[in-house]
Amino acid sequence: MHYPNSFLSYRSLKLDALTAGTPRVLVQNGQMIKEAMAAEHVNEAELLAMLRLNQVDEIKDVARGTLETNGQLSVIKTDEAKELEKRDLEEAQG
Amino acid sequence: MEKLVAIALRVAITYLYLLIIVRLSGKRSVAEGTPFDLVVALIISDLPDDMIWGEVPLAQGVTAMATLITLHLVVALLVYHSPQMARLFESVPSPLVLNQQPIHRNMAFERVNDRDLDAMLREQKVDRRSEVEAARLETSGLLSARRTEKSKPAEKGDLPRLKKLLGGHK
Repeated sequence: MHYPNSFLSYRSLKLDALTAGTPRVLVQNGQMIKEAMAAEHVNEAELLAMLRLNQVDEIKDVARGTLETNGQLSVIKTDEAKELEKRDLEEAQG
Repeated sequence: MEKLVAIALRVAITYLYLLIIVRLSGKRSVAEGTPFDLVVALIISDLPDDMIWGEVPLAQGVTAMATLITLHLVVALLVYHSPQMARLFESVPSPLVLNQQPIHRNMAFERVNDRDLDAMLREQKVDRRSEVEAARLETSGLLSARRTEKSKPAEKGDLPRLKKLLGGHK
């Protein structure tokens, strides 16, 4: 049963959405999306804890926070809050 | 032979039913992040066994799982809507380090000794307590660590400052 499910889920996005669910965006541009949080039964305290566990101190630093189908929050930071890259050093040098 | 077909059918029905139940319970149950999510996972992992081997009629197993998931949804809703219920069912994060100093009272209460604390900090890629502004034991049992202003990684937003610094040295 499991094999056909994972095989078919791989082939069909519709079946995958049905059996695995779809990720849901809980934070957008530093703002909590209350309706999405209600749908996933995630309260404010829990969301802030998830952010802390993602090493995010300020919600304003979050460009998009998505509750993935495995129940973990994935965080993409805003451009401002993204970590410095090697190329930034070259740019800074001018 | 009939018995084997019956087992195959039971497995198929249990599989599909369990899949539906787990999906209905929501993403957070899959992550087992809170005590009540964990309790559901513990009970639900024991039920299908009896259904598959026919030790319990399917209808009874189906009822048991449906009851469990209903209870779970009720608790999840209570916790979502009421901070008091959240306190009761999932407790609150407990600060173990504040302003670089360990809080031994909370550590004792959570039964986290100094070695445990350092190990949990390392898992958060923190080497020294002096780098920690606040570390909390979250309700999921994981430690979150907020770094001090000085030990935070540089961000793109720091770029203008860096440029200015470099410019000044030319």
